[in-house]
Amino acid sequence: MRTRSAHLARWAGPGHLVGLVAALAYSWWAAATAPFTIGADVATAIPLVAVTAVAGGQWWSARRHATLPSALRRLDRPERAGAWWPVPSALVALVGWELYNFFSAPRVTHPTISSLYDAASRSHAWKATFFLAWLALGWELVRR
Amino acid sequence: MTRADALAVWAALAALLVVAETMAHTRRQRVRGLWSLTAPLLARTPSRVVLLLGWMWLGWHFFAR
Repeated sequence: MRTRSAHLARWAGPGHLVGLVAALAYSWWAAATAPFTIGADVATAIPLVAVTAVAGGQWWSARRHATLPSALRRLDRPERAGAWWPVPSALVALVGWELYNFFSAPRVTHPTISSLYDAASRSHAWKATFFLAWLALGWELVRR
Repeated sequence: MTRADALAVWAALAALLVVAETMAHTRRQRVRGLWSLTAPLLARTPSRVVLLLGWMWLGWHFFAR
């Protein structure tokens, strides 16, 4: 319980709020770019480079047995008890349905995740939300 | 099958994933969540690199191309 409170307190800190606002602003700007343009390439490449740099730094630190920067360390430990199958089963079902639709035609009656995204991303707000989710996923991958 | 049927299946599967993940957060001792399951993969450099490459491909596929 104390770790959860510490986790919440950490997220409410000024550093994380600034990071969240910056990520929101960046996502809003990135969502304004059109695919297959230099702008979209740059907007997508900047997080790729940043995450690669952080992951490289973590790898280098681990090799030297150095401790990670505090911002990259988890406060709460991942839970290990409990049934493992519900989430993977849901993911396998999703992947199976994606593959079924991918190899079926026409696309309008067999929408894939990409085609659903294409339709949703016509809205700037939705595209910015997807971009923000992608940034959050990348951050979580290097944070853990 | 119509588009509406396909969308209904997508919605049901997404809801299933959300329910499973929510159960992991609300009933920590009974169901393991996505991050709990990926923790062993993130602990090893080769699988960590694969996950990061997957994340990169996802961003490039959806936002740049």
